[in-house]
Amino acid sequence: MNPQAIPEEGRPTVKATVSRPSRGPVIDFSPEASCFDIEGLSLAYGDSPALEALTLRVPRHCVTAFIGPSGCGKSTLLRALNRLHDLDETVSHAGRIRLEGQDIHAPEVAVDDLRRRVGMVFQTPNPFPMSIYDNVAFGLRLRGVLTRRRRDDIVEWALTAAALWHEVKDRLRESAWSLSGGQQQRLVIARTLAVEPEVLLLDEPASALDPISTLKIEDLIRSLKGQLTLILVTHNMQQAARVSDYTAFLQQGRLVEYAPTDTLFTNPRLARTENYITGRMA
Amino acid sequence: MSRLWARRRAAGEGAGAWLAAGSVALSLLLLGSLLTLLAVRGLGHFWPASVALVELDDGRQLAGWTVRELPLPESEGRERLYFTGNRDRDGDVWEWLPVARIAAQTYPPELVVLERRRWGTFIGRLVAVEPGPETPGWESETAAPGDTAWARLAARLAALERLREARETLERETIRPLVRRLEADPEDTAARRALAAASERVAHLRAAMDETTLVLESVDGRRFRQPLVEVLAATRPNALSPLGKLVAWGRGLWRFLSEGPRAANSAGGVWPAIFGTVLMVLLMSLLVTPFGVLAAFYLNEVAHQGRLTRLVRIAVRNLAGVPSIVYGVFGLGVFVYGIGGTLDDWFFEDRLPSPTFGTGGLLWASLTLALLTLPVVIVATEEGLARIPAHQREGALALGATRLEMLSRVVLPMAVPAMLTGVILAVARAAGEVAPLMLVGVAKLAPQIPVDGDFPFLHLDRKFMHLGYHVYDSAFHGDDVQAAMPLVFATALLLVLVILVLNLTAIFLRHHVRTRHAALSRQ
Amino acid sequence: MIERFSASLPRTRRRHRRDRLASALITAGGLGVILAVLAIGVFLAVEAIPVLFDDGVSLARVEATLTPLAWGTLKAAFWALLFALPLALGAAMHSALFMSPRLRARLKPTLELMEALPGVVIGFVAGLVLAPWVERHLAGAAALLLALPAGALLAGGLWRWLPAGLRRRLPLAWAGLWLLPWLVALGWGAMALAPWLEGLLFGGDLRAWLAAELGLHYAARNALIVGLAMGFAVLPSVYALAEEALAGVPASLAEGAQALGATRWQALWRVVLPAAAPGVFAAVMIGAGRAVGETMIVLLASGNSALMSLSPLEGMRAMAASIAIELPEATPGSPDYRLLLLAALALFAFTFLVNTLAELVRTRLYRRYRRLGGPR
Repeated sequence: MNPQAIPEEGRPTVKATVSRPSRGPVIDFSPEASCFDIEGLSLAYGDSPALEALTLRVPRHCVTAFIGPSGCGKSTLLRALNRLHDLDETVSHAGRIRLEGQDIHAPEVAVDDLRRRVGMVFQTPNPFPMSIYDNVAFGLRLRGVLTRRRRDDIVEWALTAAALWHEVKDRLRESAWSLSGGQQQRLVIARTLAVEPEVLLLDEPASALDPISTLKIEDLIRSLKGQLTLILVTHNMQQAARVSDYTAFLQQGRLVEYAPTDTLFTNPRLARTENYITGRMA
Repeated sequence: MSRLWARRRAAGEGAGAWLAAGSVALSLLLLGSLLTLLAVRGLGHFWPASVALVELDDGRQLAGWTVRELPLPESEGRERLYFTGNRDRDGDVWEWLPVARIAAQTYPPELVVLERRRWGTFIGRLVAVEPGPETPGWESETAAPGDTAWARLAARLAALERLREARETLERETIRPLVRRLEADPEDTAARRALAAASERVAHLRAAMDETTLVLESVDGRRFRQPLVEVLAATRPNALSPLGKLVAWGRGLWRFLSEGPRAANSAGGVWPAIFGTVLMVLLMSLLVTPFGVLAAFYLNEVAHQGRLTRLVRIAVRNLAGVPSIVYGVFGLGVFVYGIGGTLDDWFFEDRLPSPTFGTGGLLWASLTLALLTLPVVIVATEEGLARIPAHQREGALALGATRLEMLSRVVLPMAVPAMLTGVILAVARAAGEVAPLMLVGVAKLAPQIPVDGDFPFLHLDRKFMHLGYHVYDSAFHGDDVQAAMPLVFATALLLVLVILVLNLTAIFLRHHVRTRHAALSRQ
Repeated sequence: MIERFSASLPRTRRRHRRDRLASALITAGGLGVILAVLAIGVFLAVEAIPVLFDDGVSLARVEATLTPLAWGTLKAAFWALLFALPLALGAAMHSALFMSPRLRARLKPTLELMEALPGVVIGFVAGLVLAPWVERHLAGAAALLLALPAGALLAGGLWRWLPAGLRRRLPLAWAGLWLLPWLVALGWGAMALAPWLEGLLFGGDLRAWLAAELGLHYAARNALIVGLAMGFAVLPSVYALAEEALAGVPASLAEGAQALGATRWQALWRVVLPAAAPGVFAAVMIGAGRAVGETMIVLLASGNSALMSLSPLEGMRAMAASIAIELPEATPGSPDYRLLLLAALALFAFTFLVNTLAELVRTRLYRRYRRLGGPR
């Protein structure tokens, strides 16, 4: 894993190295260019392993997609990145995850601070049972006393960034549950953006939505990538191809192939990957 | 599954299916008959029944209303039970008469029914109203001298009520503060003088109230005099129009709800019992809500979800099935004798050996029932917490909330309806429980309600009356159970209504919560 | 664009402190409450067990005091279950498998309300209304007891001969409701016929006949009355649990049986009931626990005479009622007091064990349903 210089275009050059035959082709980024640096991560629910010796780096300010069959561990990996597994006492892990060079399991890291920096959007929209405004302001209120004006500004900015402002600006006081599913999901994204995370984890954010809402979410993802790192878990191959810059293919808790999205989808190196993306494997 | 089956035609299901259907119908029938019985007997008592004037074949006359009619035990024919009142004259209020011996039965409008403080009901005729020498304090009478005795009685009763109110106001607002001043400072001569003056006015009022007498005549012609003060209410049921009867019915119902019991709980109202029940239940819910919710949050949100927690959860659930009397025993042994006895030794030594907290009282009863209903609140709240989708919690955590912030801002508001359901169910259970109260503080007759104007206003050590215990006591220990029965029915109906309304509220709330959460997780 | 804001360090620290404090408080409070609740058993054991080893109180006395009470308790519970179980289980079977979903959605809360009726009211009605009435109309009551189940059967028999149109109007799915007036009419008929039958079969006086022929003495407040009243109180909880167990059986099981040509009743009896048997057993256990511990009903309707007779027409004295009457008068620490506490401990231990057993059985049953792909 040699550190590499970032070229002028801003996108790191790709150098695929076949490190071990079992692991398949995996691209690598320099530690400076990567946001998350995952090293030898293994994770198990009780006795059943979910991830095994996973090593990859996630580039900063890009969209990285994790794909793979159900139960391959892609959601598990995503949840490991902001330590949501802490809630489940049966989960044990080994290996290291670094965010901007710092181990996220280090004792001096406050887990709530980590989760603020690494925001997450879930499969089902989960607005809280309060008004639209209060949903977006939820994280702000936790952070400390802001003036009302400033809070209003941030709420407006976050809703605008999530492309929802024009739809809800006249009904900020209404219950968030009155919104449609797609709007709810964008509200959740706005709520996450409002606390200004560095990373946004998206766990199949459009799987519960209709096609039009899905397109809006995808547009949103593309528009956000200049400002923050996005990691997208999806079972929809077209979606991964449309929005992501890099794609990692996982299978049975192991990283199979990790490459720039166009390379992976047009010219996969391994037959397993090709079988999966062409749908020849259930 | 049942829907699928219901659509198909049910032919030839055999005997079992019909027996099963019959048991549904029979269960409903049992429930329906019990509720109907309570409603009819409980509410019917207040309806002013027509008073029959019965003439027997030997010429004897008596007045009263029919209670029931049965076949004669030994011979052919039937007999009727009449309620005749006039315990002071006849020594008894009941009269069994063979129907065959009744020569005539009429309903003369002039028959009056008086409710008296002592001796209960009088049934007969009103001959005259004799006012005493005019005393200041009586309002001028509205009835003209030539008017009937009945109109004068009504006017006098109204005036009597005003006098009674005046006396009570005087006692409450003048005498009691003065007595307290004197207790604090026995040398206060001004207070002593004022007290003497006030006492004199009270005596005056009392004399004014005492002076009117009624001349009454029972239907068999015996005359006697009755001081008006003793009379609580007077009606002429046979002269009332249906609307008048309805008004009298409403008034009777109101007096049942608002007055205290008389005649060893066999007459009067149940106001102290209502008050005691409500107060006890209120105190209990103040105790049980925070602790129950705390325990539920601990079990569901904080505790390590291992084998031990599962066992504790099963144990708590099972405690809901432990007989209430066992809780009563615990309350008596630990709260009353244990804690109460110790408190007495420490703080109320001067009053020993008569116990203050070392005997049953409001506080211990509330505590015992709080313990009894804790499992109900814990189970309901836990159910509510478990129904909150995990992604709501994760959403809050993903925004950087600490656990406390997640619990207090997202989980708690969503769990409120479930908590409320639990508390309402607990209140309904506590309102109906009698057995533990018999051990830890209920009273047959509590002269003082546990709240008054004396410091500390709420007397946690006092005994109190309870609707359920009132039912038990008057049905089981009364001198004349037959006479108390209508009131027991009314009390039982009241208790059942309170509990049904509480339960319906809880059922409605729970339904509301379930549909809301179902809608939430469908999205 | 809005500039970044960052959390101030002291505030973060304060939030964390508060979080830890609250977690500690919830833990302490929760544990405290749970310990307080569990302390009941400990208290009873500590106070009552020593009486067994006390020289001042001989074991013979313990036995003499507690045996009639235990007998009375079990007798009352037996008759209560005898009344409640057929009704509750029958109703559960009908509502889980035959009843229209709309009626079922109404019936369940109705029976839940029935469960909430206070024992003192049921006991009062049983002891002071029902007992004297049955005493006067013994033959009528017996006729009712026979006529009502027979009425349901008769309805089933007649129903098959009804014209199809009427049969559609009166479906089995709604039988729980339309059987009501039929049963009322039958009951009334039975009451009217009872004196005639009494004259024909028992020489005009059933009570005298019972005393002469069977040697049964009739007490107004007897085990049958207690059983009926307590059965009424126990019925809803048995129904609710049994219904839940039966309705939870995966539909595929019964459908499989029907596909082989079984009627719905046969499918219920041969397949659904065995599958749900643990749940039904748990329901019966819970019912037994409630019947044993119910105080006010036995107090008001049993007569409270410490008899040890088998006859259902005589009264008894139960543990719970005995505690309620005698404990307030017993001096704390005296042998009497401790004996009553021992009775309370027995009640506690019995109900707790029975409920735990039921709960364990139930949990395992639902795990099995989940494996079979049931609705839960």
